[in-house]
Amino acid sequence: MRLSRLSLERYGRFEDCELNFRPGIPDLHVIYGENEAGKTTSLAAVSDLLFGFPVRSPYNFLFDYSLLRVGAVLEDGGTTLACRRKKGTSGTLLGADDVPIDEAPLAAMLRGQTRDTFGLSFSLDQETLRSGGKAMVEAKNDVGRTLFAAGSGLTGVSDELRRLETEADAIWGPTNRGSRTFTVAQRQLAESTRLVRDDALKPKAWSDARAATERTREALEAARLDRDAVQAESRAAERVRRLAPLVRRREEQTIALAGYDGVVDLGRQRETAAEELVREAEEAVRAIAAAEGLRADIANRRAAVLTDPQVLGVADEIDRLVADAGAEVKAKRDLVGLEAEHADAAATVRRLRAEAGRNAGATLQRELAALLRELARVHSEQRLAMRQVEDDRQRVEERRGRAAAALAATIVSDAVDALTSAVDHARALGADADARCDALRVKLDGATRRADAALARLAPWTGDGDALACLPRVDDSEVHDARDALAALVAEVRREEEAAQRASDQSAAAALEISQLATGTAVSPEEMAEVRTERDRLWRPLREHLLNGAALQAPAEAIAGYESGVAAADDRADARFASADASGKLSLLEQTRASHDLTRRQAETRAQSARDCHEETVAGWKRRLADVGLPALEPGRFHSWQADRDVAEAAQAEVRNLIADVELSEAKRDAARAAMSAALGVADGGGPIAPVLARAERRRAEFEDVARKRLLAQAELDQLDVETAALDRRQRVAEDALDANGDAWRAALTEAGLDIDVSACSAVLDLLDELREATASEASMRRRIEGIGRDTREHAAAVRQLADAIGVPAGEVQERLRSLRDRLAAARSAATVNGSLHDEDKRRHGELQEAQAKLQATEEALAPLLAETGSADRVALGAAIERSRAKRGLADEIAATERAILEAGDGLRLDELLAAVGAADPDQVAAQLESLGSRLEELNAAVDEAATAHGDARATFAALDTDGTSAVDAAADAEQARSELEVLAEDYILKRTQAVTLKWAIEKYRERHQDPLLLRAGELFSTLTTGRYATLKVDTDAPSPRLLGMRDDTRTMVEVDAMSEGTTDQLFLALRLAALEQSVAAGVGLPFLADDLFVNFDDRRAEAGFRVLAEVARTTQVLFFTHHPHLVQIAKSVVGTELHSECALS
Amino acid sequence: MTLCGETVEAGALHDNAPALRDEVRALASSISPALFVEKVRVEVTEPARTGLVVGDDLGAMIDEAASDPDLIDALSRDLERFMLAASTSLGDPDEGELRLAAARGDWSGVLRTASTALRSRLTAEG
Repeated sequence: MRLSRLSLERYGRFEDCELNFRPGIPDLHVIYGENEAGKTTSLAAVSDLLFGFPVRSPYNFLFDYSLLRVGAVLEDGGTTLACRRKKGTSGTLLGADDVPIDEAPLAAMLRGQTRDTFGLSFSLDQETLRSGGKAMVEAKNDVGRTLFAAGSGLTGVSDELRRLETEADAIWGPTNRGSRTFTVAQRQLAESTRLVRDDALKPKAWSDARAATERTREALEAARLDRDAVQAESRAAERVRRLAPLVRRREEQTIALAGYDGVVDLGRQRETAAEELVREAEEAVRAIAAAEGLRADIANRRAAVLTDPQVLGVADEIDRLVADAGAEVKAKRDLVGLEAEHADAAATVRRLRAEAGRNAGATLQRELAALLRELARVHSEQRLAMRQVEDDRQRVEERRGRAAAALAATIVSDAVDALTSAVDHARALGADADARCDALRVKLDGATRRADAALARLAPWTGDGDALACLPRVDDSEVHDARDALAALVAEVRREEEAAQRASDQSAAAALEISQLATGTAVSPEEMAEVRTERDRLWRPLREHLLNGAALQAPAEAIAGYESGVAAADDRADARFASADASGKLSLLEQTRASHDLTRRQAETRAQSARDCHEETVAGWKRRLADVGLPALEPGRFHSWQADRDVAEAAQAEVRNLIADVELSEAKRDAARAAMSAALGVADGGGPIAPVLARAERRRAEFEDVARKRLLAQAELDQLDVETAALDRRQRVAEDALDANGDAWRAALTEAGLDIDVSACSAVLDLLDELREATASEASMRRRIEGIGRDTREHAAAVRQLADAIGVPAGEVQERLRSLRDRLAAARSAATVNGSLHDEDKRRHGELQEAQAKLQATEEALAPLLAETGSADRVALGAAIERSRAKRGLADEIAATERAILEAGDGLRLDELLAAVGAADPDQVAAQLESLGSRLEELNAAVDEAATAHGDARATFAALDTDGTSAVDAAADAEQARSELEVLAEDYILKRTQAVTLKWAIEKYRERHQDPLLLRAGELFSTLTTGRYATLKVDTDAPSPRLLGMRDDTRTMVEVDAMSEGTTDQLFLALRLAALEQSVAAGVGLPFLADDLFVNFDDRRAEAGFRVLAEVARTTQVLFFTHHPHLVQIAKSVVGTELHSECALS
Repeated sequence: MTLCGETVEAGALHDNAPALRDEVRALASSISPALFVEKVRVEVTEPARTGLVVGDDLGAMIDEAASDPDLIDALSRDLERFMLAASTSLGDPDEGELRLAAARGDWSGVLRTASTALRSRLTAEG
């Protein structure tokens, strides 16, 4: 099928657009259109034309569904079909006059294709090409499965190939691997060969032992030979003694056989056959006698049977009359009811004629009646359409009224803009404006409390935040310096106090030690000085007295006192001298204590000095602070105070910031609330904004609802104007159609000669149909009644005539017919008996002939035996057979005796054995046997001795061989390894050759069984890729079959996923075109529609693509849609200017 | 030991020559420990066939293998390195049907024996 013309009458953006495609080969047409020119629309139009519009079509954006029309002139062979398509559920294929036409011709052209199959196979764009191609290479559709079906079925063979390769690889491989058996055997051979070479030189001991072994072996063999000779002689004598009875029995049997000279030996088989023939001949004789007796009996029985040939001659006629009699009886029974029905039918005909009036006589043809009915139906539909138009118009007017009322009722207030603006402004503050204001206020209170607490912590300083802000700041470094200086002074005081304490403690310890020494014998210097001072005091008055003559108050007492003083001093001096060590230590301790006391006093002095300095420094620092209004605190506390001051100042700053935030938020909220209050026309009551906003939003929603209703009403009015215009058009079209249908109606009535109102057409035509059927029924009944009477009369006449003819007595028809039937039954019974006897006689005659033939055959077969044995008859032949059997039995016995002689003859020939027995004397044989037995015992002892010597020599040689390891073993191992290697070599060659052969056969098999579709797709792919790819192959050895592209080197295989985008498109197009060619070859030749399939093709491959399409266009039409001008030029260059066909979409 | 004669199972015997040798050795050992069979050579051939036994195309192709020059060329190239390795270890072949034939360049003979064994193997595999 091809498109000769495509008419886009009203479809999508097209109106009265026509594309004409010239006939001729190649049937390739390029349709050029820029973007949005309607290429895809045109493709859809073709599908809609061929298969009908879908329920929802996107191409009604310019024309209403009912107005959509697409047409074409289709050619298929010699058939041309001009058709148009409208949207609808039935009767959508139209003729040129917009009247539905039969779909059958179009369906025949479509060859069973559906919209889906057409879309998949014949109408492709870039997307469907790729999706379809992907489905094919993944074997998800029928075409794909067809591709991969070929060459399958060799899975088991492929497995076998892998097994063969594995087996061969286990023996040998190009790469050296220790596990391969050939390699293992190679190593073993090399090792064994090396050992053989190493052990090639044998020691002399080994050679001597070997020579000794050889000598003993030769001696042993000589002894054995002697013993064997005696043994042979003994066996011969024993044999003669054993065979003698058998030889005598043979001679007796031979003599008995000689008595059967002249007797013919027929042989066992011929004897059995002859006996069988004799038995068969006797059976045949008995069968002949039995058959002749039975035939005589049959002849007697046939003579006793009486037949009636006259009645049998008219048997069929009698059967027919008997059958007709039953039908006659039934017809008479039905006749009563039939006559009543006929009367009713006649009355119905009269009633219908009266009802039809003047139309009753009209003879209306079926075609005309169908036309009238169709015209009446169309008239009814047109009236219905008119009424629908009126109804629709009424509904439109009602809607118009409602829309106008709605428009009038929706007045938009002038305040809406101000309210909208105020609400938007309030919304911009956020839905939590009140909450935020409240939260800020709470936050401010908290910050204020914290700021007051921070100020309180600055005691002893008092004042508010402003006063605090006015205070000067003392630099931290200054504070740190002061604090460090004071700390140094405090440390110094503490250090000196500790030094004084330490010196005091040491002095006390020395004092304690001095007191301990003093209580003992030690005399301290002070004690010495004290007693000497007392002595000097007592001497002084005496000296004055003596020198200066001073008077003594009491000279005796003075002198006594002086003497006691000198004695005391001397006593202490003596004591001191007597304990010089203790005294020296005591002296040293005294010095130490004095030193510690000095140190203590000095430390106390320095400590006091540092303490005074610290007090002065503190006093100076406090004066420094007090002078500027700061609290007079020591540097450490002042440092903490300054930190608290920072906290207090931060708290004050936070309070100030929060106050600003609260004021700003509340100001914005108040302004928005005031604006909304003003828009609402109410006084601003302050406070939260939410209630006012809610009220304003309600008012705004009311305004918007009114505006929306107004817009809807206006849109409804606009739509109603459009619908009114459409209704006007529909009414005009319906009125025109009604007029045309009225003209056709009147013409048809005139032709039919009827007078019918169009509204009553169906009823009148039904009445006329009913009248015609009633008339026909009444006539049919009348004919049946007349026929029954005629049949009854003819039946009676026939019975009478037949009864008279065969002599049945006169009487009632039924009675005579019964007599005829009885006579016929009797005649048939006699004929049946006679027939069975005839068959029996015939069978017996056959048996007789068979027995006679058998007898003749056996006699002919026995004739040569009778002649050979000279027998006169079969009895004599039996005796001859018995003699033959006896003679052969005797010969068999002789043969058995000879076999027994041979079995006991130690393998000698029969004549040798007979001669040996014949030549021997039985008495001498016994004596000879006794003598040989003694001799044999002696020789056996000699053999034992030689064997022992040989065994010793072998043991000696074996021990040498074991100790020397093995040149022999190595040689044997080498030979065994070589043997193993040769076997493996044979096995490898066989396995490898099998593998190579099987692989070669599989490849050839797959080449031969390659699917034609794949073959053709490979050719097309090669053309489309300008030879870059040679063909396509299916890799069936993969886990799942896959499609591969074979490069031009015929070795490189490329997977589809590895192909470029353009090559993939070319592959998919090749597959699709190959499938298309198969469809066309199968008779499904629909136009192939291609929507810009070459967008990824370079110019050379696009040229190749057009060559392929031109080739396809030799068998089916190809419409190529494109928006690329250069593709049009390429197409023109490929097919030639004179054959180039081009259309433009505008 | 050399097995010769004709049998329809000739292919199977060729294909299982190593197993056959092991079996013969085991039998010999069971007869006497001193009896050792060093080699078992299979020289059995198939009876002449009057028609094509293998009915499918693959079998027919295997039968044609021995006379295909491309396959002969491919086989000689495939076994070239092995033949070199075997002759290095074993020297020139004086026995061993297939190696001898291959060394003489009688690749058709090698292919005939292998095809027989292969068809038997494929038949046994079903």
